[in-house]
Amino acid sequence: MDAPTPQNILDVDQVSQQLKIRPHIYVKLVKSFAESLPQKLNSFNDALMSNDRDQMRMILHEIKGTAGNLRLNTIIGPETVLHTAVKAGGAPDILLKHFDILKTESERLLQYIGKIDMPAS
Amino acid sequence: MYRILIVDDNYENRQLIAEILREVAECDFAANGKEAIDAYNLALEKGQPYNLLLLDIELPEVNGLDILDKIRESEKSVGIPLGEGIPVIIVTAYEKRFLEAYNKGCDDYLLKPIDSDTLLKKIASALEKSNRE
Repeated sequence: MDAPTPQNILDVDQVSQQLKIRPHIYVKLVKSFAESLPQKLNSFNDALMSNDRDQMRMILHEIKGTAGNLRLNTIIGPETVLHTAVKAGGAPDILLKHFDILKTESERLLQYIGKIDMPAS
Repeated sequence: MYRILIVDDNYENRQLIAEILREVAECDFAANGKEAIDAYNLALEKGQPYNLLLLDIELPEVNGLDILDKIRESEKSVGIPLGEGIPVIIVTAYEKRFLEAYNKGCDDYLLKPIDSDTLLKKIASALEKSNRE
């Protein structure tokens, strides 16, 4: 598998054009979302440990909503797989496997957005 | 500039919508049902009512449909018939909730993930209809 490139994670110009918003605002919103993800994923982990499916779905719904609006495909993909597995009553080890992928992608996004040069306002 | 109240419990979603609407409207925000009703009433008291409400359905405690109920009841109590009150556009990821929302008096709906062109068109259409009445 090819190593991930910044373009694979986020194309700020393309997405901000698509959304009709200014690039620096887009970066600000992605940064805010990426920084909120660790806490959301910790909550998901707690729900996973106690097998609280409603709570898992609620957290994933929230992640999905914002990741979808911000067109964060590297988050949407693993979130969808995990969400589907939760809804289908997937076994905890399966959920854990998908959760790890989502966590990895979230960390990649956070690292990337932390390094990005803020576009001019 | 129009005045729009965006009701969504997620910070990024509220800011994103406001940014998309930046050339059309000045937006205020509410993150839950109480804030939404308070902002709506305060705007009325000040004589600067909102031109439109964008309402997320999935909210903590009081959901968007209950907020819509309260607003329509309040309008009814001062003699504003259904269909002539503040335009309300429901924002949701769940298509199956549209019928319920229409029955409670919403004017239009918007599916998540938000498409900017669709959002702008629906807002323009709702405001135009409201201005004609």
